Amino acid sequence: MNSRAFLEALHGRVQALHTTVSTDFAPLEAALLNVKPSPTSWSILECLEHLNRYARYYLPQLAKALAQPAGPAPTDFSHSWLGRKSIEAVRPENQKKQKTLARMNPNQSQLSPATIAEFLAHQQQLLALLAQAKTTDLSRKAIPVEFFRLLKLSIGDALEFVVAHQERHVLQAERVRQQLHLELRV
Amino acid sequence: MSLISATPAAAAPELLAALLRQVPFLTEEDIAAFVPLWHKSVRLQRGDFLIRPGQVEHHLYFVRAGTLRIFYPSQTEEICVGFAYGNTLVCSFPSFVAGQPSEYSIQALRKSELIGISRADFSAIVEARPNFARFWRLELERAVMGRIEREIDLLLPEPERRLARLLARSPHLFQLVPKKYIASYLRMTPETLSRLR
Repeated sequence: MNSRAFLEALHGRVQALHTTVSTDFAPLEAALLNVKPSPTSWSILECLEHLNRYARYYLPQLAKALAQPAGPAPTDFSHSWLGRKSIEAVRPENQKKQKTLARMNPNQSQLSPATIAEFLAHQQQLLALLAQAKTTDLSRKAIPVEFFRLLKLSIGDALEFVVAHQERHVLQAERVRQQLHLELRV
Repeated sequence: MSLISATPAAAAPELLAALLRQVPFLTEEDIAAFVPLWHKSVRLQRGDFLIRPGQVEHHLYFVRAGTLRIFYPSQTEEICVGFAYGNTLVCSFPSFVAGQPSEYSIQALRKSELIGISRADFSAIVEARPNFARFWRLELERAVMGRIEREIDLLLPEPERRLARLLARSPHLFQLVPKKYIASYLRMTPETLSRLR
């Protein structure tokens, strides 16, 4: 696929995530942001904290990779096998439950609306990284996988993985939000 | 691990107030007058009953956390007629509205925390504040709509159509309620439900 078009599409998806979180979640009171549909399922803040934990790892890795001097940026890019598998596992359309690593599971943690501010800041960083990526070779395998660092994703793989994973859990948070209204059961 | 004390989860009155603030026409003053009327506090363990048949229950409850089933105990089985869970208001309607003994049971399917307002306090505030009259009318309209949907479900002879309608209407139920109770609610055996899902 064309590298420029790939990055522009991701840019639009990140902007959409920023808009959803700032318009739908940021105005909610802490009492609602912390509602857990059941003891083991996540509140809105827990969904976002899970994403923040991934961003705290992947965004600095991407920044480091993009800071390295690279040759000319090819006009075309395609995902690696590992990249395709990783994105397929987390994209929102895949209904299969994935097991969450314990250190990435925010269940029962102490969260405040600061979690939302952090998520929005990560989106701004991601937009800056996408702009920076225009002058790089997206196929360069430079991003160690969080849970198995010997495996590497390409820069393009990692960018789309982060965005698709965020879409998955922002949708999950949207489903929680839709339950945040009183309803009479008779 | 207690789902009630862990995490900065809001206390029941605080959560009720936050949910009421989502209703556009209720004022801060309305909410401040209403929330303190929920005097009764109830904590149920799994299997505990909120209401048993024959009891007259004059409270409307707000579920802060937990899951409950509303069922009709027939001679041969316990027929699930509905569920209550976090953020829902629940009562034995004939009991609350008409003071009749309940024909239904309401039982906790997991540890649940509720607060209740008495019929007398509730009626008084609905009389005194038109905004609450409007709120209650909208809730009742929505409940009647739900009952009509449910009646259509029950008229459909095909179990797969009954299931499809419930999945479209209340997908979250399948995360909250054990399958055997959903099967009973859909008037099918647990085996049929497993086969269809």
